[in-house]
Amino acid sequence: MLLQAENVKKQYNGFELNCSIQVKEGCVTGIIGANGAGKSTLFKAVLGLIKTDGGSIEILGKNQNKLTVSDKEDIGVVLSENTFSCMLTIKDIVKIMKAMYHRFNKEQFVRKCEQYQLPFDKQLKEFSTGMKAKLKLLVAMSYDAKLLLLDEPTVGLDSVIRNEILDEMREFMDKEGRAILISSHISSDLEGLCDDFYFIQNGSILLHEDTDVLLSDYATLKVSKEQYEKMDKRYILYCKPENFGYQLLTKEKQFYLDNYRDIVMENGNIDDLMLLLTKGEAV
Amino acid sequence: MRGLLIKDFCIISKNKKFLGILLFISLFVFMMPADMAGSFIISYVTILGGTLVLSTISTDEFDKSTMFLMTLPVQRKTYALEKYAFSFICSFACWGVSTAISCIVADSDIIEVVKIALILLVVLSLFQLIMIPVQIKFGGENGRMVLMGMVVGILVAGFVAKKGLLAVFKSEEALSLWIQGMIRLFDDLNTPLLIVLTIFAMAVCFVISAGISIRAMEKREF
Repeated sequence: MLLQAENVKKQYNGFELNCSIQVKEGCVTGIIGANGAGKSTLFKAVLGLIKTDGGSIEILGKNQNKLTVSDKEDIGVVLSENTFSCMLTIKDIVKIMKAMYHRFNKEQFVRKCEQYQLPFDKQLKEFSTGMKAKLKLLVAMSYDAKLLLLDEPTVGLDSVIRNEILDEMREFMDKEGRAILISSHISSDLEGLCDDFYFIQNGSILLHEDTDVLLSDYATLKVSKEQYEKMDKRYILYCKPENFGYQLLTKEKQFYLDNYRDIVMENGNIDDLMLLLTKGEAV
Repeated sequence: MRGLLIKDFCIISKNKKFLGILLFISLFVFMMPADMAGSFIISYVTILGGTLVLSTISTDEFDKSTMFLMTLPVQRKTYALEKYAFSFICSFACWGVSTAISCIVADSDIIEVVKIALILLVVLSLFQLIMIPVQIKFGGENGRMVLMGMVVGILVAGFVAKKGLLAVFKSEEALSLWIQGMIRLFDDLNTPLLIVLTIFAMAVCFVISAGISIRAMEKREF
């Protein structure tokens, strides 16, 4: 296990984080939730940027409070809004990274920056959102880290750049022993990348599931009020009232396929699932 | 720490305003009367060198990059100590260069210039030892407010102290004589002892200042 957070608690005015997550070696784990759901707070807690009110966090098999400087060389981080000072240039960043990381791969980093046509002499304040997003990820992947913690790395990007960034992550995972924890509120981004998902809302994990199970066993059902009254609701997880009746979430797709052939059913996709989890009510 | 130092040097090298001021001062100094130029160069350039560290803390805050830096292989303690190291390097370099220039351009005795330079170095170092923890704890804007509050506090404390001493000594003349006596006491001390005492006092101030900065960084949430 590269990351294990157990009952991590943090209380702010009007918000409470209380959740547990695990990131296994060789896996890409996604955290999905709406804006303000607690994704960034969870990342900050994992990174020790805030003090937690309870729970335990282990990274790379060590208590997070006991991570040494050399342990931190095994962790790559992308924060949604922060990176190096906007006064700096890529040339400066190369010098800084070289001084900070023993395994900084200058050649590869420079090659990747050239590949994405990132200017070496321009200050970061002149970079576009897409250029900054690529640079942040390239920096995090430039020193052979074992664990990448990526908080909203694709926020504000168009689909072309988003795909380029997702491809970089897939390439990163080619090497054994690595893992990624990635958060996003754009769930479709992560569907083709993650091995498992955590759905977070109001600081709590509503659901944790493997992507395969999610896509094979989960489904959304669209039923009229009459159908809803008559149907077996044992396997309905969430329910959301609609104009036509109800939209339902089930984990037993096959049961409803076999027994209710007149029900409109759509295979599990993460956007619908997120909608039902956040807007629907638990049954 | 090396990475953080490189970062700060890269940031100040982009600070065109600072480089412009340096150029302006160099031109200005050559137009000044020689007796004024000496102390002016030393104090102004050393202050300028010292403020560089404060500007890097402000830049880190302004960009919210302090939070990102804490995710790199850097301990919070190292971040705080690096600011002292950077301040020491910049202030000392600026002080050294400005003292050398002063010795060249000043008409007065070189030993006198060096004496003034050393006093200025101590005073400006004390200023830095106060400002770094204030800046780390309160940030750019709030830090300035705290500094203003401290200046007002020192003025009020001075006023109260004077009133208190006047009450003890009964008259301005007696107080003035006592102060002159205290100054003579320092004058009578031999120079090596004075230097040792000053270094010791500065070391104590550094330990207190760095302790406050480290504690502020370690308690900080992002």
